[in-house]
Amino acid sequence: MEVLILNSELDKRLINIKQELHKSEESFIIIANYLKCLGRDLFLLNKSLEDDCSTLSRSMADSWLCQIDRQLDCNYNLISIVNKLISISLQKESFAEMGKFVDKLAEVDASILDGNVSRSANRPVDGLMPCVLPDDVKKSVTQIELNSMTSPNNWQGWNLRITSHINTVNEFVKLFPASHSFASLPCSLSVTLTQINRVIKEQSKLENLLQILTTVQQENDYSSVFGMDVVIIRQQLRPVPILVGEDE
Amino acid sequence: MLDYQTSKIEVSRIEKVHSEIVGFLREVESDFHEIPARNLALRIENNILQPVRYALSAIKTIQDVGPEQIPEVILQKWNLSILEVLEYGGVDFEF
Repeated sequence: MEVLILNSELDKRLINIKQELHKSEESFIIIANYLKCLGRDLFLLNKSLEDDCSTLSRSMADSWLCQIDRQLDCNYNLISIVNKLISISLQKESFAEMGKFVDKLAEVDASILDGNVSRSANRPVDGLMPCVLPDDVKKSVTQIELNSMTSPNNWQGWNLRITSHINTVNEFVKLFPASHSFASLPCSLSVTLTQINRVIKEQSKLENLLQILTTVQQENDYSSVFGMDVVIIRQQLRPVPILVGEDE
Repeated sequence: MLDYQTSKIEVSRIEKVHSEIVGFLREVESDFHEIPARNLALRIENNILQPVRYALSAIKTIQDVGPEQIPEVILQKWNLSILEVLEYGGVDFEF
C-alpha cells in the first residue's frame, strides 16, 4: 500500500516535471525564433553600416542562439528521461537501474520547486527555463516576427525596429539570473544594440536633414547656401538596409 | 550649447552693418575711388557677408528643425561657422 502511494506521488511529480520541461521547450523555441529575427536584422544593418558594433552584436546573437540550441538538446534529453521514468513507474518496475537519471531529474525537480516557492527565477539547470516566459514577451516576439517579414524603408523605421529589439532583449535580461550560463549575453546585446541605435538615429537625422535641405521651398530655399553640407550629408548617409528582392 | 536666439540677433546685426557698408561702397561715384570702392565691396561680400549669411541660414535651420534633430557632424560644422562669425565677423584674416 505504502509503495503504491509513493508511486502515485512520484507519478504526479514526474508529470509535473514533464509539463515544466515542455513549457521550457516552448520558451526556448520562442527565444530561438526571436534570435533568428534579430540575427537577420543585424545582418542587414551590418551590411549597410559596416561598423564594429553590429558585427559584435551579430556574433553575440549567434552565440546566444547556439546556447539555446544546447539548452534545447538538454531539454529533449530530460524529456526522454522523464518519459522513460513515467513508463517505468506506470508499469510498477524498479528504478534501481535508472539511478543516475533519477539524480539528473532531482536537480530539475528541485529547481522547479525553487521557482514555485520564491515566485522568481529558479536555480539554473541546463534544459529548464529559469522562469516562465511572460505573455507580453511572447506577444512582442510574435509582433517582431511579423514585422521581420518586411524591412523598413527608411532609417526612422529602423530606429523603431531596433528600439523594439532593445525593449525585448531588456525583458530577457530580467528573466535570466546572473548565475545562468548565458545571462551575460542578453545584457551585452542590450548594450551593443543601444549603441547601434545611436548610429541609426544619426542616420535618421542625416536622412531627414537631407530631405529638408534638398526640397525647394518658396520661403527657405537652402539648396544654394548649403551645397557643401548636402555633399557632406550624402557622404555620411549609408544606404537603408533592405531584404533581397524587396528593391524590385 | 550655443544660445541660437541671441546668436541670431547678433549675427543679424553684423549682417545689417556690413550690408549697409557694401551698399554705400557700391554707390560711390568718383573717377578716383569708384573701382577701389567696388573692389572693397566685393571683398566684404565674399569674405564677410557670405559667411555671415551662411551662419544666419544655419541658425534659422537649427531653430526650424531643432538642434537635437541635426546630425552631429553638421551641427558641429554649423556651430563653428556661427562662432567664427560672432568672433571675427566672418573670416579670420591672417596678416
